[in-house]
Amino acid sequence: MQPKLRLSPFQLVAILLSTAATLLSFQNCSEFAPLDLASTNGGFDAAAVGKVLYASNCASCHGDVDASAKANRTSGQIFEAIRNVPQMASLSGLSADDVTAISVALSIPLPGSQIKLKFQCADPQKRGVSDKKMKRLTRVELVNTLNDLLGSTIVANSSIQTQLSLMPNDVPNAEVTDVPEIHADTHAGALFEIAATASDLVFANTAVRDRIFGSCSGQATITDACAQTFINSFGLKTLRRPLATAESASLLTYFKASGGVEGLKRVFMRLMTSPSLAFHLETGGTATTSRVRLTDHEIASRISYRLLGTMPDAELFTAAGNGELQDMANVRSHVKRLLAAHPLAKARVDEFFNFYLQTAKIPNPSAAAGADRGIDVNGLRAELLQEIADYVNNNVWTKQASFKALMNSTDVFPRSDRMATILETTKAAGATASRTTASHSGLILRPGFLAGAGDRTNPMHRAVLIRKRLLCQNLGSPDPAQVAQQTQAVGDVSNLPNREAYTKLTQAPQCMTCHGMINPVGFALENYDQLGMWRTRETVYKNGQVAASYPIDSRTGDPLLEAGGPTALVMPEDLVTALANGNGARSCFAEMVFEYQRMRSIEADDGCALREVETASLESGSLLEAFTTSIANDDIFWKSKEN
Amino acid sequence: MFYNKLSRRHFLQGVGAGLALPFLPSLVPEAHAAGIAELRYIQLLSTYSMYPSYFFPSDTGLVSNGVAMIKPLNTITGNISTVLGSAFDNYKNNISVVRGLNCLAASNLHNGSLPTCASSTPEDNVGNGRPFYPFSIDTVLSQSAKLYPDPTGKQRHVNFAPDNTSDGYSNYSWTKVNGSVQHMPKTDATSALLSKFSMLTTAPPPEDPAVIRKRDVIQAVYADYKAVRDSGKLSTVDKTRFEAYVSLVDEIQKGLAAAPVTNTCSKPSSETEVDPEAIYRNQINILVAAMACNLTRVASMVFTVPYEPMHTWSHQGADAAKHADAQRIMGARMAYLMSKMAQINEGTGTMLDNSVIYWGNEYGEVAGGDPHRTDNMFGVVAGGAAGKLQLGHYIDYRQNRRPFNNFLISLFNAMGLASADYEREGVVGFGEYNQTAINNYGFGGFVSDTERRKPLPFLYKGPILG
Repeated sequence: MQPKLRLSPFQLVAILLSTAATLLSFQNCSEFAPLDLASTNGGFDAAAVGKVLYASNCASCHGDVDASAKANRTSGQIFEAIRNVPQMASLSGLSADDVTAISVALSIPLPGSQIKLKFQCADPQKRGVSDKKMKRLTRVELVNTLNDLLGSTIVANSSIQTQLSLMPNDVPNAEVTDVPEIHADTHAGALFEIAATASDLVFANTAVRDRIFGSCSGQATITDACAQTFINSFGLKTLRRPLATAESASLLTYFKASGGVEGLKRVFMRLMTSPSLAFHLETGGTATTSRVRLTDHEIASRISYRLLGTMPDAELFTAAGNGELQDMANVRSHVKRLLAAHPLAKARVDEFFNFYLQTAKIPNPSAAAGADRGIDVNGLRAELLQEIADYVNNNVWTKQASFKALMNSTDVFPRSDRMATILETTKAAGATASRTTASHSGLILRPGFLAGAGDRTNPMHRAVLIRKRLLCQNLGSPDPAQVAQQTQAVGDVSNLPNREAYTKLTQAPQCMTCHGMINPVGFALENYDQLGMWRTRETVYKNGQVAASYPIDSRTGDPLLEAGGPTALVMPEDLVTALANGNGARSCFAEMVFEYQRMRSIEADDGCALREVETASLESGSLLEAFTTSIANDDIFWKSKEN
Repeated sequence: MFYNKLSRRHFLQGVGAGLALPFLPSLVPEAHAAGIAELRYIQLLSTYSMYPSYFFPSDTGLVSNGVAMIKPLNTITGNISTVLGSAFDNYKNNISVVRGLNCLAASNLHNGSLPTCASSTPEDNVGNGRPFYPFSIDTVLSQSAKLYPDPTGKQRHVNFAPDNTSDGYSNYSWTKVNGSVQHMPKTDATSALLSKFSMLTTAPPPEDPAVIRKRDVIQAVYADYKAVRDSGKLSTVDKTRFEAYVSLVDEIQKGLAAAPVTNTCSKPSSETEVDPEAIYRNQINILVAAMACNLTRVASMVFTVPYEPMHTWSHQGADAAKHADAQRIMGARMAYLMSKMAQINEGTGTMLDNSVIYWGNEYGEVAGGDPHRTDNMFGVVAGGAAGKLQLGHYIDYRQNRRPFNNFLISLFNAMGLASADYEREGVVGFGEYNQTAINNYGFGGFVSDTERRKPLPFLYKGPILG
């Protein structure tokens, strides 16, 4: 589509005036009135343009933009409505930029609203330009792809598993940039060995052989036609695009050089180790000045790998083959279909939350604390992790709840007596949650999130985790020399309660730059012990025994969460409420989802997509809508035009 | 992040059941760091003349570098030439084609051994004579203690002519025994050649077909990766990053290519000798196995052909294409030898890297209907003796003509032999310096002691040993 969203402030005023006149004559909300701004220059204000477009195309049915019944609709949702609502069919001529602008206008918080959106859509025509680097498949992506191509029976083979274990884990530790984009010493060799092993395995299993190579591969003589059919069908799956005529012919020639089963095995190995299988190769189609529009098959791969971490399924291949994936409504439809039914969708969301909450770092809780509280901590870590997974699952999938609900829900899932004790409720049965109190509500009060293995709780660790992971605040690291100096100056604090000790240790002005934000959050959570269990006294253990006990004062002054946030925290649940109702955690969630799906850090030109994910994460949206929007937005069609 | 701590080496141990590992010197009998005693010399000699328009690459693109006209072979699209056909397509960086050198011989009669000792047969012009200069380069090399510091159990010189079709001109190896000029003993039959290497008695296990498949497939895969890299569709940044991955694929390829085929003292597998090429392959395999086992370091193989029609083709320009086709088959045999030697990794490169292969011809180029010429001799060299010979080029000395003798000096130096090692019977340099020929070619400037001991410029890039 031609860009239509360039206008100067003067032109904008003129358009607003003319649109006002147009509106007077509009009585049918299905009339289509795009703005032809292709020839205009100057500054761009997506919200202003969006308001004009909304007024001329949507207001007659949905009311004024500032009071629209369709507030906070994302561009994907608007495209979907245009496709599915008959009265809106005539709006199908709106460009992606038009719809983005309308979406921005609909996401402008009303004056006086507590809602503030962090990300701005500065220029829709730069959508996708930050996707500029080619990446190889991660190990998880490769495993999933192999399962889809070969079947789990083949992939479970011990030799293949050994080769897979030689590859880098490709799991982001704290940052998505931890995962190498291309290079890995062992990757190429392991993939080649997997292909070699699989070439024998697939022929040793008649059912698998027939599925991959066709039943004709079992004949005494394997014809060229049989090989050609295999080349085209398996080539489509491995290269994730149709083979060019020359490629297909070349592979047939390659088959003929050996012929028979040997020839098929060699073609199989070649396809299984091809660059198109090992890498997310996007060469694209038509190009603009700064962007390249992806092909349908490349879009299919983006949808599939970002959403599921695997190759496209049959429906996506069919849609790509039919040229249906240049259409946002179709993209959104496939994303929703896969989210609803594909077995890997939940696994992928679970992986995200593991990354988001850094669950790999959750320890098995302190045995001393457990003994003191009457809880056997043996194997408790697994239950803490399961409780988090159940909690997330309930909000994302069962209740299809909003981000706010994720942050403050009291529906919990203790699966054992000891977990029920920790959560001060009864055991949950199946998918039915148990209700707990506000003191165990929300994501940050999950016992796993609070767990510690030490003889004392560590309020700094808890606070830094919240600041970094839930508020996306980069605190940096303290200067070890200053820490040592301050520790020496303060002297022994081991006989003090946590709050007093950390207050002394961090009281220097240079420390308080960060600790002014860290300490209040950490102190607010001191009512939870190393098991995440409520306590009223801080207990210190030594050699498995109680060494000291202090009263707890978890009240804090201004935690400096964000502008407009609480100026004091009286109870721990106040922190839960502050994060659930504030803007920082929500925008951070959008950022985390975005980064995880694209496996790269956000950049300046990502604002449009981030704003849509952020909007979808509002209370009016849902976590599922946020995941959907993070993929089904206009960025999916583009990559940077890099030379 | 959670990197697996396995190193690339650990990983490669798993690839191809260890075959991808660089071959450890300790696994090669008597393997050492690449020194003189590890170098091998193999000469391949063909009879009769040759037709230059079929043998050499096109002159287009030849550029003078002051000492020769040169052209990189990898700039040639398609085959190097008619004779140096498709068998050499993958060896454009591994051979050099030398042209335009003159033998300073008094006679142009057969049996003169021009390509090995730059000599002729002045005493006897009926075709049964003895060369005026009675030592060929291969026999001199075989007598050197530098190549055979411990000759025990070694065949110092191997001279063979597979599929000998009773052509009398099939022995270019001469020496003196008790004052008498003699040909070096030569074998023809495969069994006779094998009998020289009694240590090669154990039949090797057949190569694993899965390994063969891997080796073949990885070559195609590597080509696929290079095609993507060079497609022009990757950004500059992506191309650079992708190159790192391509190099990993290349490592696998090289690891598999270097899988030792005949790296032990096992008798190589043989095929039924249903045609001459099967005989050549069998005997080449034996030679490579013997060299891998350090049973010999110097060999001369003659590409024999039936006297007729080759003789007639040499004389009749109308049959030049047929003559060239016969030589193309000879060239393919050289390429086969190279491929086998390249499969043996010796830790300091492959056996090919540590050798000199020289293909020479009985006579120079046919000119004016004369197929018995001593000028315009050629040499095709490969291996390079661990980097001492300039490979990958068409090197044409026609505008800077020099004695062919200096070409042989280049090979001596490459093999580590100085004048003190190769000079015989008080003759400075190597080979015949016939005064008439010197006068005819105007080579007076090349006959001083210093000039006689010089290797060819550009072709030779190792230390000049004097």
